[in-house]
Amino acid sequence: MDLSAFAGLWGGFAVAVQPVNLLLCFVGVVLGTLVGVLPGVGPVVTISLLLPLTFGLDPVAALIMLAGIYYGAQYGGSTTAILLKLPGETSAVLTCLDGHAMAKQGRAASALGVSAIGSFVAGVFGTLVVVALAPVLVAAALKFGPADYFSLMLVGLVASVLVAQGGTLKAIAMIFAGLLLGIVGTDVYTGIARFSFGQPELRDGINFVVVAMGLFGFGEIIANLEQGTADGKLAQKVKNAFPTRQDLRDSWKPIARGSGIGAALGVLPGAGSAVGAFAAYTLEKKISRTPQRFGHGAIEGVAAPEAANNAAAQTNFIPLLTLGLPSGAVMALMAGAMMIHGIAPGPDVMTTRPELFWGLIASMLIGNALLLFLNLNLIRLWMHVLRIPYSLLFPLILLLCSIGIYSLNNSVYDVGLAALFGIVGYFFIKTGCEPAPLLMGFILGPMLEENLRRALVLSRGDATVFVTHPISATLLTVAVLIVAALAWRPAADFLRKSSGSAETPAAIVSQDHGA
Amino acid sequence: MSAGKTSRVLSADGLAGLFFLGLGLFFLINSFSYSMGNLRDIGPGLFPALAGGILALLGAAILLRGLVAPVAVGAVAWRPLIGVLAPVVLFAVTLKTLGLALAAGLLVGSSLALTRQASAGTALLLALGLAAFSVGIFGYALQIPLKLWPW
Repeated sequence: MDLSAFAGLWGGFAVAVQPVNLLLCFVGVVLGTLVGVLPGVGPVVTISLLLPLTFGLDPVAALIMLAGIYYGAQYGGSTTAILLKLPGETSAVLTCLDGHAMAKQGRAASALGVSAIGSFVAGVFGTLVVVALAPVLVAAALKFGPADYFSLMLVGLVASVLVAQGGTLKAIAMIFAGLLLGIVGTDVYTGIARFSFGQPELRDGINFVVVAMGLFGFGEIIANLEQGTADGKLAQKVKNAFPTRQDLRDSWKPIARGSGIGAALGVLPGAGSAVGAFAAYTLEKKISRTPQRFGHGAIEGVAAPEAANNAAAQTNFIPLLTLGLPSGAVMALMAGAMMIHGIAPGPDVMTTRPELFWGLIASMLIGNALLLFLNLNLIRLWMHVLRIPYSLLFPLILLLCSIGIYSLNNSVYDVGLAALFGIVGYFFIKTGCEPAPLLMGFILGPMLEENLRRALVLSRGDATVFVTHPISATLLTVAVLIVAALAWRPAADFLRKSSGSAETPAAIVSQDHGA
Repeated sequence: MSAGKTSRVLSADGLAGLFFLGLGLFFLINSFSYSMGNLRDIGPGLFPALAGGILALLGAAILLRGLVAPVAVGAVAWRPLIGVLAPVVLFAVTLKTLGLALAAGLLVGSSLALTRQASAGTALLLALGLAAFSVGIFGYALQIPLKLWPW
């Protein structure tokens, strides 16, 4: 193993423990948890909402705070999932199943505690994986040419289809819709404003946060009001979130397995953190001697996906920091946030801005430790937030979203545009189209086109460059294999259905929504 | 799901397919106003034309699936839809002229009134409270450059 990485990490701690950075990390995790606890507000909306708070900060401090917000939102979402059965994002769906069942049996403290401890252990493990792997991958990334980048992005996009719920065909269509919306604005090669239709506001393209807020934020609020399910009916009131000795004995192995699975799958571009959570849950259920307990309050069913989710939340940073490729909607948002602060995510960050790179990673460890402490002790505070009826909470969420969007560019045009995307978001919910692939396509669209064009310029119009370059050829093979797996899935689903046990992620979700 | 009386075009897949078909065609047609270039030097029109064309095809396939096996779309909840988005538009329209305090109050009050989630008294109180909160936090504490008051 490369020991210089740990020297770098040591230097990173020097950055992260500076009082200002420590304070911002703390403020970030507290605000992230506070907003993330709000029903129907997942990490994407939480980060979009709080992003403007970082604008005045220097890049290192801003990223440390943003990362804190990100983990805070993850932890906060688990609390809502367990106590209210409201998942803020896909990966929290699994926590809902067994976590909420435990809360209904009066074991909320155990579920919350195991979830916090599992997330912490996994977070630390995931961060150490980042420390060990990132320098190696940065070295490899420097060998990447435009053709290789293009193929890697294809893998990422194809993988995000694999994760998406609600049908493969629709997910692919959503990616292309995202690709197209993403290229609205000035073309980097010719300087022509494409698809802006004379609107000066569109010359710089559509802001990522506007799309995210509209699709995820506004769309979700409308759906919550429609269902009327989001009203603060807590499953159980708890004083703290301390699990019992027996809980810890039952859950340390699932936590360890979940951390490993999550960390491994989180490295893949396009996989996001949901795949790891689903894989970990499925594994626990498979190897359990009493699989019938799952869905009815099995502690392993909370520990494993929560650990996987959080390990992946850390290792998701690897493709972003080494290749500049976001692995999911949340990382795409982090990439956008880095660009706002003048940092282009990619292999150069580690060499040109080591204090930023290692400072961020060191702050991940500090942030996770803070969150463990906060969540074990301050659960009563979060419960107060959860007890507020949704009918009084949603105007606040709406107001915060609107002010947040405005303050990105001091533009009321953006606020109106987000409302338009809100209509689209509601349409997507109604027609069963998941918005996450659209966001992936949106952020990757411009990069995909740029690398395609650059690769062809470099090869003087020789399109075979994508299959003759070894890295690109390997990646394209992977993409083809995933496509083959996708084509196989409908057939496999059919076979599974006829044997009577549908255990696909989609089945788990629909089961959850039905209840 | 009720396949019997479900409208075929207005099914979930039918509507989604139409949307993607329309969006794809829109980008495909408009991309011809930009140069396509050649393989050596791809113009700004080629990528959107390709992606638009593929999206239109995917949309057509989804539409076709909707026609063959329609799945009903749930009724549109107009009250939440309008009650969430109209206040946001109202906020966007009034922010620069009336200032944050009034725009925030209007957003909160109108969203509660339109969705009928709270009584008039509660709505008024919450509107006042959140207006004060947003002016305090965003205007004075965070110093976001914003017109705060109508004057």
